[in-house]
Amino acid sequence: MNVTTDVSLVSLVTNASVLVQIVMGLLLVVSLMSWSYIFMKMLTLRRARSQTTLFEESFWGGSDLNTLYQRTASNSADTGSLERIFEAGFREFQRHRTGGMMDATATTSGVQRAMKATYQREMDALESHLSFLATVGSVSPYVGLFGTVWGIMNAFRGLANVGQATLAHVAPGIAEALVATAMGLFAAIPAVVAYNRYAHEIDRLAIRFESFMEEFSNILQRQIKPHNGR
Amino acid sequence: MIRELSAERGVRPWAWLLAIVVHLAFVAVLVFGVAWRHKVTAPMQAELWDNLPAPATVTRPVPPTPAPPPPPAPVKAPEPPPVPKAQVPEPVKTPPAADIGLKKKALEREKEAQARQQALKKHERELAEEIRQQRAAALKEEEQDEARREATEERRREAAEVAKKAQKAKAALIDRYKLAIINKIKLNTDVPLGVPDGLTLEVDLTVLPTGEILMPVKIVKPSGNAAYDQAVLRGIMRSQPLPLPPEPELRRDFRTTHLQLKHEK
Repeated sequence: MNVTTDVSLVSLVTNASVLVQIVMGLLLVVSLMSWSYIFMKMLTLRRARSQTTLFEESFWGGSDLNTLYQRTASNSADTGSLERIFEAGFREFQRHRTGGMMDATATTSGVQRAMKATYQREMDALESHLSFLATVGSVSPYVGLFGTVWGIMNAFRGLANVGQATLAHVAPGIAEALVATAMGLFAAIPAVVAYNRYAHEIDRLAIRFESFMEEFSNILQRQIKPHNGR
Repeated sequence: MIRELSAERGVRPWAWLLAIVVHLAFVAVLVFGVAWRHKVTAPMQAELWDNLPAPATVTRPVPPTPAPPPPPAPVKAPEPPPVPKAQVPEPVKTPPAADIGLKKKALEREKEAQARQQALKKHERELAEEIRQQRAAALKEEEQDEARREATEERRREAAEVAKKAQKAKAALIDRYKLAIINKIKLNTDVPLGVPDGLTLEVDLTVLPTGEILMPVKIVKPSGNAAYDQAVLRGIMRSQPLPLPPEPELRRDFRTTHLQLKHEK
């Protein structure tokens, strides 16, 4: 007699109990979402990095601040975070200049506040969905474990009705329950890796933004003085 | 409220597409790449015997040959009929001196007597012949009888011998299967460490025709080492189904099986 135990993945999933199947479906959806966010963040962060580098190059390349401002304001759809920060700061500066109130401290602090507000908005946008990745990374193993525990409980409860218990009675139940844990881990591991990596990248971008803000406010402050003395 | 980058909105469909592709690839790898298929084949068992007893004599125990009919009582040879005493009439003494007439008469009488005597003699011979024939026939019959009796005797002896041989072959076969059972049990027994050599455990098993063992297993003579006894009992349980002969007649003999398990390294 040949004992053929066909334990294909599909049969494991389809034979699982309803709750385990719900858990597995939930984990599948969560995993899909987290992967889509991973790719989304990957693409946007890469773009933000390249845009920042590009703007820094053009800013420190000695081009005129006014033309730079005109350029960024005209094609606002294709601007990066750093350009928007620059735009906000320079707009505030120009408002002060056209308003004729060129008090150095007031202008500088106003520019800094404007840039700070834009910076925070940009950071918030950059960090969007990162918390989702963090949540998936920390919670989905538990969700999968819950499905597994439930499945194993069912397997053992079924075992109670069998007179002579062998491993063959429990093994399929445990296997299909463990699929839930596997799915939880499958969702969690990339999420955790991506979260750590993206958080680090955003931190580096934030440092670049902040240093740019400091330097840009210095530049603007230097522009105020000769104006004042005139 | 999460404010999204405008760039993020343009990227979103691509991200979803890539996520779905990743999942499909992963599922495909799992389903087609890692087929968790276990094909457990039942262990094959071969028994090596140096000579096989003729199965026919074993499978069909020779039915006891019906006792040969009692040999017919030997036909008593018919008593030869009493030989009639040939009464030889005294030859008529003729007086030597007689006249011709007398002589003639006497001659005639003599002739007559001679003829009578001859007839008598012939009769006698015929009788003797008949008796001899009868006797020969009886003798022959008796001989045949004897031969027949001997033949049946021979047959009966032969049958008994065949039956004895079959019995012997059957016993040998049963012994061999018992040996196979013991070997299987020994293979399945994990003898704990520290069990001394030469322990002997005797058990009585109740074996179903399917080779399964009916609980409980009776320990007839414990080995004196409880750990060894327990290990052997576990091994016995693990050895189900026991290797039984395919013939149902022989299986019946294993209904209660006495086994002697000796531990040797």
